[in-house]
Amino acid sequence: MMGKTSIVHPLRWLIVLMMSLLWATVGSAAALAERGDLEHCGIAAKTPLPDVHPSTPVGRTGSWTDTSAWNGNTVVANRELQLAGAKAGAPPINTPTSKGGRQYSGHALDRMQQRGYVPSVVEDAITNGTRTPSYGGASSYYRPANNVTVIVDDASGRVVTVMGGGR
Amino acid sequence: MNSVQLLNLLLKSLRAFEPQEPSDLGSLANDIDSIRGSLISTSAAFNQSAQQLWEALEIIGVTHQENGVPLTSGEKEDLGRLVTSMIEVTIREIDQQSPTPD
Repeated sequence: MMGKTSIVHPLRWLIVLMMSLLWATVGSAAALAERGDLEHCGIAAKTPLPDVHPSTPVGRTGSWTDTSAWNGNTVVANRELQLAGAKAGAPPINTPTSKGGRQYSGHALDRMQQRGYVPSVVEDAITNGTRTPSYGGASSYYRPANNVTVIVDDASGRVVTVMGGGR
Repeated sequence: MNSVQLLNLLLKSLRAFEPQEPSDLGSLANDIDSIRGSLISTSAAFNQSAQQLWEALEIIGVTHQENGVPLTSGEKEDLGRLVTSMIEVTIREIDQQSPTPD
């Protein structure tokens, strides 16, 4: 009876010691992770999750859900599942804006977001594309490299609309 | 939906087109853009006519939508002429793309 007790006691202490070490390791790792000190623990920091439904559209550029309104580089409004320009008669989601010294109609910005064209692609089409006279004192610029057509008002240089493809 | 069916859809939209409000223009412009994007191969005449009409619809539509002014009679005439031309080339395109009977 005495011998059995003497064996059990050291084992019990060993288990307690190992659990304490494990607890200390996990606890410090979690603490480091919360502080963002990832070099020492190798696990991701806890970040508060936004209180949104998992199916909420993220509105990536170029996706058909991306109809966010821009103000400079800041998204100021988002209609999510409403496809820009697709609903007949719907006013432009974006407001007319100047980007890189070039004026864009709100409709042109909607089209660009819808199709994933950045302003540099539009500017490249105007600079290097094939020009064709269009309706009412406007010009159509087609750039095969990006397969994009840009309609520009000749008098003001303003981009009226943008479309994929060409003549 | 095959190309002939798509062209018939476009023909239906063109025939139903009545340019009264800027929103009417946007609707047809979207139909042209969407159907053209779904057609695999079309003639140069069809492409040119569709592009001319689409550009006019977009330019007039955007201008009037932003300025909030009604369409002028001159613009309605221009659009009517372009739509008539587009109907003609679409009918020809349907004839060309329709399978010939054995």
